[in-house]
Amino acid sequence: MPTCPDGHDSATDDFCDVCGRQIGAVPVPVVVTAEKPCPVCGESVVGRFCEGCGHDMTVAVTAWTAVVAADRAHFDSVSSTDEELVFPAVRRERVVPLVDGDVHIGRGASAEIDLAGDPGVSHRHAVLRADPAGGWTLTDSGSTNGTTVNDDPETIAAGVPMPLRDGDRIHVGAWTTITIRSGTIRAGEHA
Amino acid sequence: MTFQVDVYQNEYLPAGAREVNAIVTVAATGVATAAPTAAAEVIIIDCSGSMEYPRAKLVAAKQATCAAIDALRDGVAFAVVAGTDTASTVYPFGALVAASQRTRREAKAAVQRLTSGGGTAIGSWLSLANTLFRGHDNALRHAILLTDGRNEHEKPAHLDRVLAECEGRFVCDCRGVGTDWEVAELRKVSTALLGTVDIVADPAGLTADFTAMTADAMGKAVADVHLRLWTPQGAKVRFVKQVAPSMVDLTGKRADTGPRNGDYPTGAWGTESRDYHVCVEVNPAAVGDVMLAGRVSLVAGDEVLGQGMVKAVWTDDEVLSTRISKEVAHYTGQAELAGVIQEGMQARREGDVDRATAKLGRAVKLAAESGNTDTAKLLSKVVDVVDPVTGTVRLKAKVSEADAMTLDTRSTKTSRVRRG
Repeated sequence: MPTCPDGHDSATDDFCDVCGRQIGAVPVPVVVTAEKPCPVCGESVVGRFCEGCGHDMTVAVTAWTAVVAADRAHFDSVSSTDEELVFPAVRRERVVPLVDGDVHIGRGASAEIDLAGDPGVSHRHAVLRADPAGGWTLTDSGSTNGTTVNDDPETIAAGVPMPLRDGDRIHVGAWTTITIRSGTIRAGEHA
Repeated sequence: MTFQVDVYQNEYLPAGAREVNAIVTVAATGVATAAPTAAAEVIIIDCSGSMEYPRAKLVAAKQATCAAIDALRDGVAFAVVAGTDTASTVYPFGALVAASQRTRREAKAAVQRLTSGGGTAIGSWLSLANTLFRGHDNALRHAILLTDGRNEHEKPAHLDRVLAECEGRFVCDCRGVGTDWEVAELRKVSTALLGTVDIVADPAGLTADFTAMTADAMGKAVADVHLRLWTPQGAKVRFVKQVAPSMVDLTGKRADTGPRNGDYPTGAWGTESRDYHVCVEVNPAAVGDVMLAGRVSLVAGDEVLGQGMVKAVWTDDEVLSTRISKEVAHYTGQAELAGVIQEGMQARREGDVDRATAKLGRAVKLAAESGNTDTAKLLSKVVDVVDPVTGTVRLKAKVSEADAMTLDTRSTKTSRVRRG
């Protein structure tokens, strides 16, 4: 007895006598929902709703990321008396998803963005913080060498949150620039 | 006989669409087997008192009945019934008799002796015919019913009950002579019993009409043919209509005959062709999928005489999905045409001039567009056509009752779709 793509036994061999589907048609691919990180809380999600925060995965959200890189232009602009300071030969770019709460910039394990290689970065240098409106702010934590943003040579005031926008460049230490990226994506488009 | 089934449709549907429409044409050709199919015929003549006024009616009815008897082929079981407020057999007494030279002569002599008097109770006439047909289950069973008046001497509920009993038992062609009968009433009988209804305004036309009807009945070769419609799981049949040669809604006549199958009666078939409009609602499949939305079979007993397939293909291509099948569009228009004529004539009877003008104007436009010249001609006897393209009409001040009734009666006659 012929079987249709949906698995019905059919007395007719052209079209299924249960559901009408063409016998011999390519079966509809069974969609196995892959695990995806929730764009809101980062929980691994299978299916539509995040079990961590209840986020609907089909709803687009604005995702923020911080791209951490050694920046030659920033290095060159930093006036330093320390002749032994050498721009790193091996440059690694790191992408840090900004998910929730505070993301600390500093040196050591307590910092989410650990810039241990950069001698100009304070242990507790600055913090990226999600604001209730869905955006992110930058606050200098009273660092030794200060924090500058974009092309402004003046360091930002310590303890005062500064709203960030897509494309803002945060300069810290001797050579580190953290570029902020924000964009509307769906969960499934996460890399 | 062979049954050629063809399906005309635009099978392409936009994503998510559910409704599938198709015109199914059935052409029965070839001759019956050497031995003629067994047949049974009952001729029912109204013998109520009004048949004497004018006297020409009864005279013409007798002549017509005799002509019909002459048109019966040898061996056909037959009877003649006289109908008043009761029903009685004129010839023979009791059961049907086989047609022969002798029985035809005796029957015609009995018909000539008929007199009129009494009322009209159509239900009791049909009831007697149903009794007479008993025992002739394997034969083509056909009746002719002639009346000149309203069904005044029995309750409408009685007629409805009798029609329910007779449905599927025999086919009945109905004729109204003169203009004192009720179109809706006879249409109810002919629709229930899968026959035709027509007006014979002038009694002189009865003989030719009876001869033609009997010849047509004798030309049938296969009795009790059903249109079997299979639809997929979860589907809903919106309607099944015969759309040519006349409009007959079969939707309510469905008898479920197995999983996802239903049978619609079509009566007996000779060499002829009929068109059906099938409308099915299915659960939409994915774009690119092909689904069988309906399988239409013509069946007699367990034998499948012909088959056609109604398909659905979902597509993103709007050029494909927005195309309208010429056949579906044509018959959708013919269905509307029949509807607006009946509504327009109803409004006209009720004196609602605006509504009647609007409905009949629409009818004129639809008849002109679809090339239904017969209906256009009948309409022009009831309205003055100012512009058939826009459907601008004026109700005629003086319309003969016969013309008004003819238009109403023949409103369900459809024109065939123009090919090519």
